[in-house]
Amino acid sequence: MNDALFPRAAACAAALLATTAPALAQQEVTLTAQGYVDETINLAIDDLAPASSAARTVADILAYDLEFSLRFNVIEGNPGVVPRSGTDYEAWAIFGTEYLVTGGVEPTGAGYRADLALHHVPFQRRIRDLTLALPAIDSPGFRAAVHDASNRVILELTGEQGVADTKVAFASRRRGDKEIYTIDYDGHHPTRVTALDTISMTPDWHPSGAEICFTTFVTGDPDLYCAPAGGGRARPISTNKGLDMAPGWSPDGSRLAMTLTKDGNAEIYVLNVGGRSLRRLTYNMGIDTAPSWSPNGRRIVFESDRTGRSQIYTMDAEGANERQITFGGEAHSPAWSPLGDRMAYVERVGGRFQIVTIDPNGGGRTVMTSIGDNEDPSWSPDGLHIAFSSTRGGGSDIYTMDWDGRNVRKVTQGGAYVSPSWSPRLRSGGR
Amino acid sequence: MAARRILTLGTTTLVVALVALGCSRRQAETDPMRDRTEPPPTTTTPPVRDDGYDAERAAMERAMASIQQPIYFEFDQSDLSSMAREELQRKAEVLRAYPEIRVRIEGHCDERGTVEYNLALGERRAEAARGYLIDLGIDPDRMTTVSYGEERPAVMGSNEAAWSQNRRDEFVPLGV
Repeated sequence: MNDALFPRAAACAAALLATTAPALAQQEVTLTAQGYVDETINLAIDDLAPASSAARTVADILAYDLEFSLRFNVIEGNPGVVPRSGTDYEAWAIFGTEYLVTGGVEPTGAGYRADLALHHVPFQRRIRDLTLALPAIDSPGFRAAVHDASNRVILELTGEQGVADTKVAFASRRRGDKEIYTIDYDGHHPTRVTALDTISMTPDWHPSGAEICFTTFVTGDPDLYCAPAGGGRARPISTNKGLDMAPGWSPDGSRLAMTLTKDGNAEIYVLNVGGRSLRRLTYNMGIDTAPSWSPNGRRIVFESDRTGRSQIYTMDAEGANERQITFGGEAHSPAWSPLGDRMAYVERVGGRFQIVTIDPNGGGRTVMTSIGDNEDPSWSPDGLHIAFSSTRGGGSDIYTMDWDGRNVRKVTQGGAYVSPSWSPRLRSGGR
Repeated sequence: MAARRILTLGTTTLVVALVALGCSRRQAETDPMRDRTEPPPTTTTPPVRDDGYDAERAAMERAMASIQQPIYFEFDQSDLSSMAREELQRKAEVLRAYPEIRVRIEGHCDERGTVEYNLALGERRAEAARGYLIDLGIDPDRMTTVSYGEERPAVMGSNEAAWSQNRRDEFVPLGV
């Protein structure tokens, strides 16, 4: 280490390397082994305007989004060796910085204007300008605009769509009732979707992002309704006698898989929404429920207790070619990854529910959680993260973790939140 | 006298039914999202100057109260225990004696288990009781079922004492 050459920076650089380098090395090995992310990019965000809370917030959101994408190792803040002008490429290069974000955030009449620039450090070149018109700092539009900028950086540098614009829908318990809410994936801006003063539960986001569908007791008999994702009047979509529950949208949004008990016991059906035609997929005395689609829309994974204990099965979208995936124990709530190569589900391990992932052929079972009860896995649209509910903090809250169980982040605070459903990409054209 | 009483009752029922119909239609038109989880409020019977009628009414109310005793289930089971069967036999006697009583059977679960599985399990528990009452000769059209899964525990708590109280069918009598 060139401490002698850069005496002022030594302490700071040492601290940075000590905290980031070991974690980075470890993560790279695991990720590369799985082939999801070939390499992580070292990106620095210069001090955008150290004294401004707006600039600090912009930098924090960018840093969180880029780290969350698993494709970046972010160095936030000017470590001191770099002149304030920001683009002393040689100085940035000593931190192994490949890309650099510089710029400033200035107040305008109603909000702020952020003029950001993206640089390629080794080539010593400014490669992209990002100008953001930002509303007031406490307005939801402020964070949304910066999330969009994060996605543009991710797309520019990796060729992949980010998930910085996504949200998580969930059910909130309140005095014996439940209402549906959404929250930004990073835990900001909780927004109420329903105000039905009854039990509304198990939300599932339509792939268009426009609507959230859920089971509700609004008529007294549990039915499936859909409401605008930003809140508003709910409309019925399936209202049979008995239970209408466990909504699961096909990836193209044309078919709704669900559980009905209208024929006597819980069976899985698919509603072709355009033609309103209903097809029954399962026929047995067990409880068949929790359908989730493969990304190509050809297979459905679901749970069934036809053998006595609930297990995970797959079948064609027409109900043929059933195949049992899990054996032994008790398994529930499967969710097929948007990448197609893994499924997450809930397994009772030593009396507690844990999130487990498995290959669609039943191999490679891996337990992801160990503390408290962990339920209702839901994948991010890039297939690199899982939202779930957990009682690890006492009450039930919504958390996210990486596909390999790392980086558990608490999304809600308050201990009354269950049944997360990760949204599709909301501002970059759906999944 | 008896004939007149039946006529009066019949007319009352008709009026109540019409009022209820009118109300629910108006509700549906103006506010379909209105919570209708609860049964329509029991309309107070117009005073009838007849001691025999009052006695009959009181007897029916006692009968309705007597069928509200819940039945309980083992963990992750919807089989009726012998105790549950005895209780259902008692309810069947009452329902046979008072053919105007209808009943909503509500299936519930303890908090262990996933939300969706428990909704389905609660439905099974409610249907198990309904099926047995049908076997005992009660008209299927007099009974509806609904599952609340784990959403409406009778007792709060995360221990077997609470759980055993929460794995249950509740019986909500719906009178004329």
